[in-house]
Amino acid sequence: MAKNQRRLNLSQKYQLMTRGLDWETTYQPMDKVFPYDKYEGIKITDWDKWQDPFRLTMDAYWKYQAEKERKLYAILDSVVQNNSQQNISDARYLNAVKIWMQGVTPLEYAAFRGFNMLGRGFRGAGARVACQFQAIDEMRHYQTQVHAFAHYNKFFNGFNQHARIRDRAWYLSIPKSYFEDAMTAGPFEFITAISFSFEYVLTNLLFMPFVSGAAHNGDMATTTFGFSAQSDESRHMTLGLEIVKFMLEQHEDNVPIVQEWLDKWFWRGYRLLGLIGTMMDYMLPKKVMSWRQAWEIYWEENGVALFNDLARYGIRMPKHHETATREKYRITHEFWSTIYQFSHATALYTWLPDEEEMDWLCAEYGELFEKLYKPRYEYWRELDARGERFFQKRLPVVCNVCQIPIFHTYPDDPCKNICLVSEYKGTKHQMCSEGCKDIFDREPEKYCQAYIPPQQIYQGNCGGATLEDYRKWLHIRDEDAGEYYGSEDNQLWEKWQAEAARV
Amino acid sequence: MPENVFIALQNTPEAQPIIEAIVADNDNAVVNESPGMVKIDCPKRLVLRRETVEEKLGQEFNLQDIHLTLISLSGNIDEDEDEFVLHWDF
Amino acid sequence: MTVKFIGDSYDFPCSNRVENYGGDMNLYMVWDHHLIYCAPNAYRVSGDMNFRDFLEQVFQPDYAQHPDVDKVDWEKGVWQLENQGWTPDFSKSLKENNIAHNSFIRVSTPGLEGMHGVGN
Repeated sequence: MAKNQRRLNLSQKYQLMTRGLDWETTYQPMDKVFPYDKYEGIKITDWDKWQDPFRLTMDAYWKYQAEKERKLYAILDSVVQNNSQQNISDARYLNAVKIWMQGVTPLEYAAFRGFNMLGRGFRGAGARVACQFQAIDEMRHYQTQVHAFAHYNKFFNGFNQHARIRDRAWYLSIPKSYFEDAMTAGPFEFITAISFSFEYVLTNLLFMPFVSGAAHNGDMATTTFGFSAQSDESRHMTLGLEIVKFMLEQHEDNVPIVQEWLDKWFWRGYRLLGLIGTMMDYMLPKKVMSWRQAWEIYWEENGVALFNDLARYGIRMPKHHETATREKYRITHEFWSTIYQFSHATALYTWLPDEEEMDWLCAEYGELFEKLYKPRYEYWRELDARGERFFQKRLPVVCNVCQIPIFHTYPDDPCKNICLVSEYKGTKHQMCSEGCKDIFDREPEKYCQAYIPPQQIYQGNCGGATLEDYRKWLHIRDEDAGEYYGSEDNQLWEKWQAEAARV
Repeated sequence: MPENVFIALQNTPEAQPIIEAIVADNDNAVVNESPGMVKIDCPKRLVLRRETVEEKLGQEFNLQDIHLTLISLSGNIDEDEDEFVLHWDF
Repeated sequence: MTVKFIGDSYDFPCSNRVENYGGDMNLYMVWDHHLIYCAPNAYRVSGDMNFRDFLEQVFQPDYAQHPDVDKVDWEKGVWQLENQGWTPDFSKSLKENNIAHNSFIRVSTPGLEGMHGVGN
């Protein structure tokens, strides 16, 4: 009997700790105190309708986060003490971790910055509190990832310049531009882009099969921070769904605005995740799930169920989702072909799939893989055997929106490059798809300013136009780049394997 | 028409009573194991009950403790002291 | 549609405008159905360059590792400029062929459609 009177229930506690924290300002009008939450056109009539379904309060937040950190760092200590770097499936695997370190970890930091802005920008205290939690989470993710990778940095190449190359390397402008596009929009678009489209709809594809893949490949460090981060992520995803439902419920005028954002950020997110799919299909020596299968589970099943649920608000499926689904048989192979031939200009190694991996790819991807990509890889293997390892020496055209080299092909013809053009202010801009072209054409004033690496190189802004000059400017060393077989990582791994075989 | 909600948990000893409770309380739950992780799918609605976890665990359980093992989820959430529910409403 | 913004105006120059190329221009070109080279190539060139010189001295060597490269006869190519049908004059300059800054040229060569019957 006493229990209920002694302790507040979850809902009471949440009300007390997230409501009445702020006040209607009188020295300055509220619109001047919160200058950014109206210009996007989103109409909010009652911020108190905002609810965190987890009803997480500050005291509970600290308690759980402290517990997660204790567990995580105990394991990271153990990783270091027990030489866990020797227990991974194969050193090729670490190139997926390098992509994470170089491409994903800086996004955590970008998210930290973005959610700090939102934690100040929204006028509803409940939403501000949720965004402040998330900002702290994102900083935690950034830090734990850097700590986890620091151990690999003692032994392997490609881990030592993440902060610098993040701002310079052509392939890292892909994830970077995603977040900077969101951060230069208003707070409602940012949270739709990051919390809903990226975290709710799409990051399951990143954190679930990929981190599970890390576990499968013996990478205790990545598995641990990955799942630790993902436990925060489920709270973030929920925030994403709540904010979208909140906007849709607050005013009918919000519906078309939200729909446009969902169209845009679904496509941007899908393009970005192609890189993750490529890690899953090509960089995990022990496979968990192909990109195709992950797409079917996490988008065609779970993502579509979500959109079915949103239909009652007048929301339809995001534009071009059919194209994304049609591309599930090709996108990762096109991406790997691209990274393979440009890895002399990355802090990554690449390689060709071996026989067993080729069989797995054939089984997962069927006829198209067998006819198109497999013979391509076999030809490159022939060149390799002749000592002519295939590298593309000419810079590619890059999409003005997603910033990916336009390796993409026509939706109905995987054998022909697509390259679409929009003209704005007398300058032509190239795009990889109808999805990216729609995004450009909706806000050409914004995307015409994009920093596109090959264009910047040719304009003379990147240390020079030769590969050597460019690589130097990126702070990538010769030994960080190129073919895996014969690399320093490969040699070190072989040495460890030989030592292990002797005992 | 796709209609599953899901919850994914770390495959740790701590998560076992939670997984067992979900299986006990949701007849249509499908458990998918992959390395390090368990994903449970269920059409339209999935419930996690505090009492069932406590039965499996043999001691008191605070439902918010799922934050320590939760990896991901899909569905609208309703949570109070006794139940954590994921649901689609279409 | 147009971008929503705070303040009086939102007006910035294109980052890839021709003025940034010191008199040269940026140009994109792809040889269709030679997909081992993953994407259309980007070039910084002078608009006064002869089109045949560009093709034979700049573009063609970029496909050096493709077995079709020694067999190609560009005169038999089917050409597009900005994804529209177009007939270049090989003896004239890029500019005189209506090739402008950031143009996109596509050429396919019937009979030489890559390896493996699939455009690799």
